[in-house]
Amino acid sequence: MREEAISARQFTALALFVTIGDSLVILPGTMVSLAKQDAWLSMLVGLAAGLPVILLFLAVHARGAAASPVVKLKRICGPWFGGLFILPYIAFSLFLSAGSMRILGDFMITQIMPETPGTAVVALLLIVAAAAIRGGVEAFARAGEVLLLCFLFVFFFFILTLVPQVDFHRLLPVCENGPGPVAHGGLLSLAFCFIEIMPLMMLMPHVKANSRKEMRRALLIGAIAGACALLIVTLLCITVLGPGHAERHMYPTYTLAKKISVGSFLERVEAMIAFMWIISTFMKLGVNLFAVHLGLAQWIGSRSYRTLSVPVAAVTLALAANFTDNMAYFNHIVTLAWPIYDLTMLFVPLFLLGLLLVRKAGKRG
Amino acid sequence: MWVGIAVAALVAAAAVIEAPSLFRESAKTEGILYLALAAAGSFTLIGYTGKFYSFVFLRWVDIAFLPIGNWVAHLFGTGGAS
Amino acid sequence: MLEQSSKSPLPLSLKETTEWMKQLLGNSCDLIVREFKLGYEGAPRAAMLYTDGLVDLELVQLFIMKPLMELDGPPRASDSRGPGTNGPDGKQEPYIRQLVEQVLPTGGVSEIRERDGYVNAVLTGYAVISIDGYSTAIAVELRGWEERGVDEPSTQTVIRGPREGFSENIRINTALIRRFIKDPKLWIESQTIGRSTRTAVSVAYMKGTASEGVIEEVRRRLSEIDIDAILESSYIEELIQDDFFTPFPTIFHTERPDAVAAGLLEGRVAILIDRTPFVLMVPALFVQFFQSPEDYYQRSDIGSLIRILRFLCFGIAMFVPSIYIAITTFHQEMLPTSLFISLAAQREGVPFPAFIEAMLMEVTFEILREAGIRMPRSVGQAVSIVGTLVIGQAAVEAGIVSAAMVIVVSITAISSFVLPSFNISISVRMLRFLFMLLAASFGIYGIIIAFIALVLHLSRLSSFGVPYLTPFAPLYWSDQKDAIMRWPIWAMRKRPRMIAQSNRIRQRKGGPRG
Repeated sequence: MREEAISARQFTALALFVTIGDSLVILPGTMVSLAKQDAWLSMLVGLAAGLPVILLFLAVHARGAAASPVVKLKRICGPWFGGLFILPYIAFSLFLSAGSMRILGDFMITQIMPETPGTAVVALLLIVAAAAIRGGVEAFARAGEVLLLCFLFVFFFFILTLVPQVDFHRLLPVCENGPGPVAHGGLLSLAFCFIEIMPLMMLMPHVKANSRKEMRRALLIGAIAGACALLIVTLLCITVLGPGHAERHMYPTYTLAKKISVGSFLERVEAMIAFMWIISTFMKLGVNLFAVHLGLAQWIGSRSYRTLSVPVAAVTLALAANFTDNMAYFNHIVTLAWPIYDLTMLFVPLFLLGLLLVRKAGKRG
Repeated sequence: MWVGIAVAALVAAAAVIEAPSLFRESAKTEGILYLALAAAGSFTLIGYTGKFYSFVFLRWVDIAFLPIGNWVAHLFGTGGAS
Repeated sequence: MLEQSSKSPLPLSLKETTEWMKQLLGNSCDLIVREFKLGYEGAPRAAMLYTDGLVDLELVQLFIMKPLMELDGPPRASDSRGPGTNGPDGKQEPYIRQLVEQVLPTGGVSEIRERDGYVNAVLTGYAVISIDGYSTAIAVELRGWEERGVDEPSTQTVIRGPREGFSENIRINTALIRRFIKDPKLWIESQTIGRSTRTAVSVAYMKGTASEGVIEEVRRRLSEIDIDAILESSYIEELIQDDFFTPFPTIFHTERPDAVAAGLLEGRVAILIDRTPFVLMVPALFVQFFQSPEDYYQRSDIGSLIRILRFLCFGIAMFVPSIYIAITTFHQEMLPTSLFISLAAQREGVPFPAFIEAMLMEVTFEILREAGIRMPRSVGQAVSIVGTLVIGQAAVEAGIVSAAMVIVVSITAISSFVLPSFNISISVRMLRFLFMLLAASFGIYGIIIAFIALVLHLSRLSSFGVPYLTPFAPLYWSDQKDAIMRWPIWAMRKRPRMIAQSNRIRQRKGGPRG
């Protein structure tokens, strides 16, 4: 079979979607509840801390032959010892899929479709995602390119219609409660936007980049653009809604869209936000699921990664359904436990990078 | 519940169609993995062992990382109760 | 009998030949055997065989019968061998050759030595002359049959632009293209497909512009066809398309020579099929189905606006019924209050949920549309009256459907007619019902999921190796000049990137004049 190739531009689109992902609706609210009007500073802190993380991913990709981290681990450590690192990596991708699905399901049943069972909502998206896996990496990346155009179109419309209501005085005072809350918010954005790019490493060998530099540029531009989009949304949440108001809402971005009113005829366009958010969540879900499928297939050495799409979708659905018992507890986990879990998972690329460096030094010596 | 049963039925149908061909092509590991994942997903969806799976797969994340999270929150001065 | 007729040589005796033909065709009444004697003393007997209705009798009399029967002596021998001798190697028969060279004044004359070719020639409209004592027959191309001329095409009509459309005759069709492109680089390859229909199929392309890979792929897929009959280009289309499981067409068809010429010049490959005015073109991209030749014949600003209108109509035809269902069923809060009140007042007496109401009306409309196409023309008026009055107005007055629903169905229907290609509006018709179902069960969420699934599906498609969504994904900035917008001709200096991979420059210098 022909090697599936995606272009650097498509990879940028994927990186942007993975960075934004489900954070578009969740993250601003969580950050505002921690850092109040300084949430936008948290986003900047997260970006500053996130760049080294992305460089770490790129460094792992650049060392050794062009292959995915799973293949590299398996080649160096063998399937069993390597499995100690591969399995958490795959599980991480799977949990991310389930988590984003749960968040999406909760959002849908609380805000848009109150009478529909959450499992059905998630199942519908997972059916499409399984079809995307069947369609292959290439088609998925192309779809990402088209969806990015739609996403950006709606996104700029969204910003432009809200600009008249911006009041920058709501950003004051800066750093009222000291650097602590800002740093905690930064930890969240670092974890949710940048560390969760990790599954995208599985797609890196497919990128048809002419040089390492092009690859680095593609990923950096995607991630930074995504972070900037989130920064803008966070800023809008604070300056339009005000920190107190934004904090009280579970989904402040969605509340933000309800504020849109142009000439008193263009109103009630919250569906727009749902549109953007479902697209970005779907793309992130797709990347995570591709990581699961490619990882499993490369680990057990099967020819095609597509065969497992149905059972993996079933497991994802089951996990999403049993994620947590209630939303309050869920919020608690999202702010406290999950970022730490994300951070801990960095041991996989760090370990791999160490191995690659040691091996290179050994070869030279 | 009913949605879960419907989805489980779909998964079972897919398994009946797809799994035998995997074993025929002597991709045994893949076939076993297929059946195991399909069974895990379906049983959880129908309602059996949901708690078990959610613990095996996810609840340990809370248990393992929540204390650290609380400690971090305490460090940053952003609360972190329970 | 048939095995014998395949590659074996023709019999020497005239009687044997005519008997063999009559038996082979089961004495079919349209096989005409006209026996005669060549004009001069001692000349051999001859017979002319042809299929009645396929040859031009007047020309046959003038150019075959008359010269042969008025022949006043054997043709002058160009070598020592006299009449009646076969060539020593059996290759050449000087007598026949002399007849062809000296007596028959028509253009398309060929010699036939095998039974296979003989049968083929008679059935494809040649007048075939057998002469007693010779195993070589002469086939004269004097085909003439009743034919529809070059008419204005009934699909893809334009306000400004050439009025000629393809006809059923492949020769006329190639000539129509050649009249547009008088360039030696326009190559036309021919072959016959179909064991029974022996349909002539030609592949036309611009050598050096069209991608060699695509040409090779077209040849390969055509050569893999093994079927008894090709009656229309749709047979070929279904047999060579990339993916069957899609409602979207991945092969373009048109009956406009100017559209084919433009496609060829962009580097596409055209497949012409005899007996149909519809010519296939590959690779076909999604945007191509939104483009009409007219776009290039009007000013570029209006051309661009009309194209944007078409994409808008595609969206309306695809999504408006489902959005209506979603909003009236689940998201009433998304409507402005006054509009919601008026909608609710209309729907008050309607006994069905919005989904059933919409399905009723959409299916009714599909029935009306199908009736409008299939029924005799003269009944059309009656149907449209029944359609508009009874089903539209009366249904609203009876309170079975709401007036808003009728508006939704009408705008959907009219929007689907705006699309210049009929086959893309068919895919919209089909997908619309799926989207309505999703909207009825999942509301706006279902529609967004349907949209994502649609984009994914379109991304998966490709036409002869070219991604279907080119130039959006993969994105090519230079090709955007002729995608959603139609830039001025002077700005389109390069050919589309994925279609013409070499020879991309259309015009060296470009820029607004004056």
